[in-house]
Amino acid sequence: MREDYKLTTIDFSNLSLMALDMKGIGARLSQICSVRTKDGFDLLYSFVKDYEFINYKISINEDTEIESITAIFPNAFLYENEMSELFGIKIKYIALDYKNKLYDIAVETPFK
Amino acid sequence: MAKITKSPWLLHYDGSSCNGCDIEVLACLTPVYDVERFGIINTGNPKHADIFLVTGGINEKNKAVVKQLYDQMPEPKVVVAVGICACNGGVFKDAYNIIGGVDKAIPVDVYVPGCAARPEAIIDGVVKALGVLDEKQKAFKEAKKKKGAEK
Amino acid sequence: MSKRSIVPFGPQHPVLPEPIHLDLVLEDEKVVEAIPSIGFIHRGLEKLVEKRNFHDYMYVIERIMDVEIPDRAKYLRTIWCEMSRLHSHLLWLGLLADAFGFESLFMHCWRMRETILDMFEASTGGRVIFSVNKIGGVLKDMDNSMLRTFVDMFDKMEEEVRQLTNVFLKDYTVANRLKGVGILTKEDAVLYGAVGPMMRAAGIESDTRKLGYAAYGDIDFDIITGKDCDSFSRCEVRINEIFQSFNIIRQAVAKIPEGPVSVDVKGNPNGEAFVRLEQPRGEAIFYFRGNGTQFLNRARVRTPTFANIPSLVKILEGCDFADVPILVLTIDPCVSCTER
Repeated sequence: MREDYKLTTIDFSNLSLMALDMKGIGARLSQICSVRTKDGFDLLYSFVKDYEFINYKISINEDTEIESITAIFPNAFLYENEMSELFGIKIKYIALDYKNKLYDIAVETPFK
Repeated sequence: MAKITKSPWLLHYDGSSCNGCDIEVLACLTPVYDVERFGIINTGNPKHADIFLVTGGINEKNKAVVKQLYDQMPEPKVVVAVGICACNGGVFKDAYNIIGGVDKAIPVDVYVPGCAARPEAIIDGVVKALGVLDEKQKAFKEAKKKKGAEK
Repeated sequence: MSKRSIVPFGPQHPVLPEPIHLDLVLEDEKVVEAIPSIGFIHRGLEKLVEKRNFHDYMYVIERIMDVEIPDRAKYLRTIWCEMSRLHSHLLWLGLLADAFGFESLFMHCWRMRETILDMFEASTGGRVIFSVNKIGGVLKDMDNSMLRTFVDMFDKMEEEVRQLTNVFLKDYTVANRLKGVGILTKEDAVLYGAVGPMMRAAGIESDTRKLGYAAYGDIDFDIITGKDCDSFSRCEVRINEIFQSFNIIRQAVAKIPEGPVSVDVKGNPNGEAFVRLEQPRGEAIFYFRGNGTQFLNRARVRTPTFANIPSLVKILEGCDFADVPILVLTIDPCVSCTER
């Protein structure tokens, strides 16, 4: 059997709304991951509700500043700090902001 | 070496390994391999340790920790690099955050290859380290005697 | 309010096989806040995919390229997966015993674990790193006589493991250290995104194996959950999972079909895929994106420990300082996997 999952593309301005939606249905935040594209990044937010695997894709430019969802899902802080440190994605309002010192690596934004 | 002259204590630290070598280091201390029968004990305190087992290729953040642990150990001391990553970086050699081997951070006396290093190899490395420790101790004593004579 | 002090915990600590650092804010003997700091083992593995070719990662690539592997290979992967779970849970039980100072119990757990490692060595050639999977199947087959021998060995082992786990479940010294300590409620488990035994101990019925990858679709097993949400519950869940693994292996060996163990795969991956797997420590997520060359654009590995760190921070709040090492262990941390 192969697992089928949903992948919906949304605009970055709807990020918090989407997170609230997910919280409303009782899903848990499973992971956030970013992928470098030609002129920006793809952000992939994954949620799990029972056995359903729900994914949202947000494409942003290099200098787009997104909002943190730590106020909605507290466990997002690790993923968001990771994205900001490794990819150089600008994120505001992270609850526990390591200021790009989560891994404390020697090179700057290696995935950028 | 013909006999073990001392019951050395080990300090183990994971210097950015994948955990494979670390569980093998622990496997050395438990039944089947059981280095404790030679009087070798794993200690958590660097100030009690004679032999320092380091696994992994050491990353930028870990470098200072490894150095500090090494400095806290009393003389004479021996460092054993366990696993191919600890020897030269291994598969992670090209990774951006790896400095590529324990010897880039602290002086290493014995290298144990393998991915993951087998318990037999690690024990062999520790026994080799005992030989080095004996030599270092001899040199240490002689230097002390010389110093005393000069006074 | 009494005076607050900050105690650093780790990266080097007798109870920790791997480095993780916590800043513990204490009020007398109570922890009021814990701030994790990781990065001691961060290597940059996800970046390496741009330098190494894709043959290093199997299942996700098969998914991107739409490869259907032979049934026998699926069963073999299932058996190895469950053997990994067995050895991982025994290892964890040992470390837990070590953390509360029950040295002889630690040694017994690890002694039993060695039997499984011997089986791994006989079937794959490696004790810890197996390198037995490849894109399109597995590299080595286990013949049926070997499988039967393994089942006999597991039958014998099960009895021994039961004696051992009885100590964990019935000894009052163990219960004193674990019962009621480190409570993670069902609501918090969802909120903080806990996975694996951590989540199931909070009473959430979810196991990624039920998605039916490899041969799990053909195998009959129940999801093991706990009800007390505490450290003891997490220990209980893992112990029950050990016996479940014995059961799954027996079923898999009984049902394994004859046939080839791999198919040839040609071409390079182009496209993207998510895959979720249930590892011993919980749900792991892999996301790969290929671009039609032998190098990948992006590989993302989200390991169960990474998902469990926020829950760890949560259960540390309000606990006794002396319980910190045990609570750190109850999430079954694999820091090396987490930081990649």
